[in-house]
Amino acid sequence: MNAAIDPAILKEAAGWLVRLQSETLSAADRAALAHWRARSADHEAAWQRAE
Amino acid sequence: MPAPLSPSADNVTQLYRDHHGWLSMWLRKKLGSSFDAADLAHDTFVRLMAGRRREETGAEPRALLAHIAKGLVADHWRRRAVEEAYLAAVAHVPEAETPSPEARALILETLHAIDAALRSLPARTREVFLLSQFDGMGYDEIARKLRVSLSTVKRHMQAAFAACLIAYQADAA
Repeated sequence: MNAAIDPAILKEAAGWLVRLQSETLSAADRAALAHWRARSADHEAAWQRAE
Repeated sequence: MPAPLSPSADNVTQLYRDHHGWLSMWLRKKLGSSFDAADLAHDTFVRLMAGRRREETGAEPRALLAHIAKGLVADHWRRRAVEEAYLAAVAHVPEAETPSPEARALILETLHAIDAALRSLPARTREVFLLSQFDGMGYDEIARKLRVSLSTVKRHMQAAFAACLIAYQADAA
């Protein structure tokens, strides 16, 4: 298993998941999510796990 | 009844000698299985040794042993319930696609971790999460049902998802 992901990143991933479930994201929102995921390997891994 | 004990490693040996048989019987009545009872009796003494409670056994060691054992019995039934729910869920899966015993053990550990994470959440957060994920209600529906704002529902959902992600990670580590 990979090293632990910072809980703060996991909380942000949870926040994105909630937005994705509760609203239709605009193109700008989707871009912001893509940008967030690209911030680090951990961000991407957190998102993979959240989804 | 044995005299109150002062703290020492010998105490556990003495406690074991005096009360293990009684505890095993007590557990067997609760669990209906002497195999599980032997397991949990063992775990009860391990807990006792691990904790600092040894010094507090006082004049009523059986009350303390029963207190520890009760917690373990509750955990035992919860784990059993989670496992039964899992088995019911995979009962319709074709045999070729059922997880291997190793994969199954990993899945169950993750489920237990998530179960524990959900139980550690505040009651309202857990309620919102269960309405969403198990009853399939939308966030706005949940907000109306519970008479709270949509942003409150979202806050609860984010907290619950975060707890699951953190529990999953702690379990896999």
